Amino acid sequence: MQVRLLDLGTVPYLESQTIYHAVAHAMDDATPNTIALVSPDRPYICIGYHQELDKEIDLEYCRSQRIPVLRREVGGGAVYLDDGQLFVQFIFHRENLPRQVEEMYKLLIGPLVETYRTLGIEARHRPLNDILVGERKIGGTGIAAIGQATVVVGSLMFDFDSDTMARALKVSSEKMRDKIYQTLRDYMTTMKRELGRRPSRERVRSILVGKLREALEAELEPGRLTYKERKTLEALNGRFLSPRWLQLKGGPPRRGILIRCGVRVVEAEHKAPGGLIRVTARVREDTIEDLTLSGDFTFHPEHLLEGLELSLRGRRVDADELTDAIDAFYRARGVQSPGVSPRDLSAAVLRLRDAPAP
Amino acid sequence: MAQAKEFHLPDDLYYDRKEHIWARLEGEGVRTGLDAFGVCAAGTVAYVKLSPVGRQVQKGRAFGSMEAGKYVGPLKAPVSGTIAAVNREVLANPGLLNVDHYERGWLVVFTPRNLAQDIADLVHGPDVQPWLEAEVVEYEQKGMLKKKEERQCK
Repeated sequence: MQVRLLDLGTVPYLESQTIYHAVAHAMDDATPNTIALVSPDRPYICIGYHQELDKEIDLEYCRSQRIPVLRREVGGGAVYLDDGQLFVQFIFHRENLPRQVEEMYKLLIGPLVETYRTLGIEARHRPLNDILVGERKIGGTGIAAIGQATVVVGSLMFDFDSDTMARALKVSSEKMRDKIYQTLRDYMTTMKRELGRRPSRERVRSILVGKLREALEAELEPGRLTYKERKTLEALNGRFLSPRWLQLKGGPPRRGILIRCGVRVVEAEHKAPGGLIRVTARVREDTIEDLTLSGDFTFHPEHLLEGLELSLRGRRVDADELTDAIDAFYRARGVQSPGVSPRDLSAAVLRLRDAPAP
Repeated sequence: MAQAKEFHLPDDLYYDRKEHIWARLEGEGVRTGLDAFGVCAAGTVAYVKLSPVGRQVQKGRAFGSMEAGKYVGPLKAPVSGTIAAVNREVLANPGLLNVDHYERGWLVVFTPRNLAQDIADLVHGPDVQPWLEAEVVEYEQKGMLKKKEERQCK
């Protein structure tokens, strides 16, 4: 199999997205399978294809910090991207990749994992599409069908700015933002964090190219964009900056974010006779790791609310288990909450299961 | 009703073999949706986007897109025509595709342009059962049925 390597180094932030889209949209039978390696020249936020810009991003903050926002044709949630990441973008003919999404991820995540391992980082692929070091995620990936091509995008993480990522998202409360920020710190890692230093881009690039060659059993031929691809790139550069593209309508707003497979920060609400109960939580698989209760209901004595929150840590999001635990807490502490029963609180927490996250 | 394993495909519908989109002839219109195989391959659907009413779409071209299982891909028209209706319920609740893909989870209704010619390519009636059985065998050989669980991040 022939594979063209577009090793483009640092490119304008816009083109760190539009180059792979251009190769995909311009693909015809003569286009070689292509891998692009790029990093953006400045930080930006990139939202998923089906997201709605003003529902997901704090645009005022982004404007004040001069952080531009782009929309990609790949799914998933909003991400903060900068030169701390080396983007690895596969633009392949569909028939040259496995047909199953699982197998595609396995083939193309493998070289990224092996690159980390060569650097001394004990990375592993956790299906479907995460790369983990221990329990922490190091980089994300996504797949899309664009034109004739199947596109798989991923990244190698030198460093990551959790603060800006958490700040740039539009969230319903600062409690939610705090949990996102803390969860990013707890469940994400980088080469700098694992190694205590940031390895050189050239070394990482060199290892990666070797691992790609081995995994694909192909020579990577250094190449450049064709005339057709450059013209497509010009058109896409205009389209990606157009208000019409940026402000495409999306689906319902996401009431949570997926930090890595199995770890979500989510919010849910339940209207009880005594008032609205809002739950903000970090849920790992089906277990509550951290939880905050708020709303406009009365809880007496008020200072015990934190104790109730703590008592639910480690519990499964399960009706019987939650109701038993909350009942026991109420009885032991003599809690009173007019119009809000332990079953209402349990119902509010159970709604975490329904809160969608990409 | 054609059936193999857990998959049920009503044989009064017409099916696009490659895209697993179904088509139902309803008077002047053609209602479409994703069949049981399409749903299985997709996993839990997170988003659906559909072109607006009035848009003309050619057979085989996208009339929308879908995001599921860490994958985004187009929804391709089984017939050429003009979109006459869009299922707003499925836009608000994409999970309907997973739980009720032949009824409440429909996608769009087309006013077809070349119906007789377009449906000739689609599988229908007594041809559905053998096609379905062949699909099950192929999917099993590819490990698709076994790996359905793995897509749920367990």
